[in-house]
Amino acid sequence: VTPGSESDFHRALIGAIPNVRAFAVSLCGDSNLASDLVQETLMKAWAGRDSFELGTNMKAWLFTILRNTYFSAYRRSRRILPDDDVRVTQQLASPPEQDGHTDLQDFTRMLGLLSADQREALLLVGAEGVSYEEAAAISGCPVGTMKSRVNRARARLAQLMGLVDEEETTSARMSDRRLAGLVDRRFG
Amino acid sequence: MPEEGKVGKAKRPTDLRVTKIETDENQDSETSEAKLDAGSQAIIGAQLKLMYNKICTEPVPTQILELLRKLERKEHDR
Repeated sequence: VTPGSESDFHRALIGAIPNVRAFAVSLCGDSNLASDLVQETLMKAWAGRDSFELGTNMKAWLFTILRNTYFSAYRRSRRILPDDDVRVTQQLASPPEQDGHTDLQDFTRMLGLLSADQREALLLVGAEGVSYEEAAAISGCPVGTMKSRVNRARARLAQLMGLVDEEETTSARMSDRRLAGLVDRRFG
Repeated sequence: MPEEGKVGKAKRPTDLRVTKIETDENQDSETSEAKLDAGSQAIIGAQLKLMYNKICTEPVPTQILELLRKLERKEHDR
């Protein structure tokens, strides 16, 4: 970023804030912590703006800074949503319905039941709409791992939302024959 | 043929099944797993976007805007 392009950098930074904030809130499940996380991300971005190439993806750059900050510092402090199925299930305002309708607050709580890696993957690909390749680059993992995390996150959410049962979501470990048997019992 | 004026019953998401994911040369050991059906994926995607877009449209907290102003001021004073 050259002195003349300072305002472009600033504009791009401000433009990305709503998405960066949404990513932070959804990732850590706590709006106060998310606010701290966004501020820390912006300070780091500002300090490192010379390394940012204008015209490249500002959001992806900020997401990378934010997730690295979260996973390195905040997560260690344990100020994140606990992976406690029972507690969260008890907090659900209403049980999941067969038609897949889930209260938004309940959905947020269910998202909190995923591992942080899976939550991050699903947010990047499913909510933010970035490609698997880009999401993998942001998270610093292989593309295959990113695909796997997204699949597992979806499968877990589908189970929590009552879209599929436990048997179906664990069918990864089933042989095709066992899967066919399940289908026969259900639809035969 | 369905009778005129009658609408066919929508397929329930629970009628949908899991299918095996295709092998990808980029996949690692984590990926030999089931993939959800398109209907369930669509429902989850819609809920996810609803939640995410709701946060995106919330006003940016004042402390974040204030931080940007401070950073700009600091830069200007240098």
